[in-house]
Amino acid sequence: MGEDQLAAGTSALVSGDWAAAREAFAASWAAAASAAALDGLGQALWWLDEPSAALETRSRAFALFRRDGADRSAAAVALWLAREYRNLLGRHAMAEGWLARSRSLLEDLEDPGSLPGWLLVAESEAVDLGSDGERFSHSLTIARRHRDTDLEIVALARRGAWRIARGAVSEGTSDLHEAMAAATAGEGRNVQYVGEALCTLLEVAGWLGDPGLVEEWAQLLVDFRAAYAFGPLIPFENTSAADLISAFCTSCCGGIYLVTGRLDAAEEQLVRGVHRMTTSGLRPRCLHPVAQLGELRVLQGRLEEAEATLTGFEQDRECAVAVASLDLSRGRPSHAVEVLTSTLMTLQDAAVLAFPLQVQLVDAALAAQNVELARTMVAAIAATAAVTGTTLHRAQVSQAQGRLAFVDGDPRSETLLHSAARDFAEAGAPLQAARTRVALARVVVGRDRGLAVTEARSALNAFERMGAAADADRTAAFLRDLGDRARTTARTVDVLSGREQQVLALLAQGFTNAEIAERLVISVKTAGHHVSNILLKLGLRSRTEAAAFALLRLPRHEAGPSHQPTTRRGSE
Amino acid sequence: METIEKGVVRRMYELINLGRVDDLDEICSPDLKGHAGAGADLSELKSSLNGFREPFPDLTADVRHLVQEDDVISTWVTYTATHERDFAGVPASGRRVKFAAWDLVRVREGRIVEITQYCDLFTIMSQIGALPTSAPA
Repeated sequence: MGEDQLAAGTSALVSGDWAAAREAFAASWAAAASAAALDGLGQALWWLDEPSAALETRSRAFALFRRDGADRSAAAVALWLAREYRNLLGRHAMAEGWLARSRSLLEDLEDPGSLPGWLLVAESEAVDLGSDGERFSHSLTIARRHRDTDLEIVALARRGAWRIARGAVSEGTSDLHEAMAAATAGEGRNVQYVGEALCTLLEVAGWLGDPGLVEEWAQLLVDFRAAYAFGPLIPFENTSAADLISAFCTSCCGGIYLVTGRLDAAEEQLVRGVHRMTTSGLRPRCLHPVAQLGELRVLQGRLEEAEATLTGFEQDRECAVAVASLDLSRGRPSHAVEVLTSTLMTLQDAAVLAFPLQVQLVDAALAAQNVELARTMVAAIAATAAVTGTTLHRAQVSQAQGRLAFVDGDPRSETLLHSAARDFAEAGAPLQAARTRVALARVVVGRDRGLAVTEARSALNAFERMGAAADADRTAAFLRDLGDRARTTARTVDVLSGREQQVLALLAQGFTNAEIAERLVISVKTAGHHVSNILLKLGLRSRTEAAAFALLRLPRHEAGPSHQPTTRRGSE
Repeated sequence: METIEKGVVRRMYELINLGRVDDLDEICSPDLKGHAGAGADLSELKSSLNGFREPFPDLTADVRHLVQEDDVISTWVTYTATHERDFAGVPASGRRVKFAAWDLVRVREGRIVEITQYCDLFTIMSQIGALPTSAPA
């Protein structure tokens, strides 16, 4: 009975029917308390999104395997636990403990199979950024010798990321594509590692700002999902690659939305991600939700909340950019410089990972009036961008060069910022594009005030659309200084009372105050008073402008010409 | 035949073209009554005109027809201007606009005592690119 259930559970795991697997393993465990049943149950729980229960269950399975003398199975479980404690929960002491446990078990095994390769992967992940890439190559050799495709996929993906972080973009990309080819061909035994490969690919695509890296594979996964059970990795209703990427990413965090400028969607996902992290200890592998939420709060101008979110994470390498953003918004550029400089010390071999920090250090250094530091950073990012060749990196370099040129009084500043804004837009980074437009407006304002206003207005519209309140406020202030009445897009008829909206609708149809008064059975004076209030509230100059505003902004049924006045008595 | 009343109205467009809206005091009654686009009184008339000159600083009126019956003057005017600042929430487009306007003005004792103004708002909005179906101006 227990054996049958065990076989049923194992086949359910392979076919991706996690609920059936849990049921079968639980039944098997009830019939006979075997290590294999408990281990299978742990794996099913992991897929059913109960990671804490999964880790605990597999820990118990480890003890049973040991009791039974099944040390190879025990070592495999120990290695899995080590990786999950580190990558999923960030609990390094627990991870080290399991790593040591598996190491000593492996030493005594006569035929450890591919497990030493898994140990190498787990050990590399223990060192920040896996500073020894040779281990990945070595574990890849072991994987191939033992035909362990799961390990091959993981080792290739990790080595690819490691290579790209150091600027070896084409070699790293080749590794990642090879990992994805193996993963999507269904060669791997465990779907978990298809997820790991895709996650790594997304992470790297984020570094490079190159979504094209992911799209083809995502499309392939969508097309193949019927043939290969991806379970929670791919919600079934997704039919396009873009859907898949956003479903996959937002299942762990909303970082992707920060890049694409959908701050409202990002907020929802990130708040959930941080909550999940604080309640269950579970954190997404690819991006740090605290860092992202901190950055989002700064963008929204909610600095107190940004500070509260980032408290306790100030030393976290991944939070450095968010902490520095907050410092810059708080007018503490020298602290931002300090944070970024010290974090960059730990990233000396990882040019691609250092890139976003160096970009921000240009801003911080210019704000702190340390032009030489800014110049050094501009040179550093230019060197990295020349290697990666991505549009996003090119945009960031032009933007930084443009800012620096402006400080230097170099007339190329304008051209550089122009091309940066264009490249940011092309790279799908509208927030950066808008910020660059503001920088451009500040550069050209002395020469061409009209152009400055146009650029700043376009940026202001974008900031308001995205909910980037802090940037919107700064841009509106800049426009006000130019004598331009800012904040036009924020004006809506919602600020008007119901009565005022009625008056505006009538006014838009060409009614005079007397006609409006007659329609609404109020005095002419009151009608005039309503009109004045409408102009005041909407920041409009005349009733003609109010009519124009209504033409664009009033809902059709209110502004439409359906109620033509029966009499025109304009001069009476 | 040129009359005093027609002269007063022509002077009004001259002042508008010169951007000297405050000098309308010279030719308007302090008790002026306004309707529609002109606003309700002299100060609203001035702020309405200034409200056009701000987004369209080079606003120029070209009087096409000007006819009189008793003390009432009716005019058909073509305005040309450049959209240089936000208008009705539409950011400066830099586009040239050309639109028709109609004024009915009552002049008594050499001063404007009543004025009604309408302009072709739809054309303005279309030409500054604010309407979805607008052709390039």
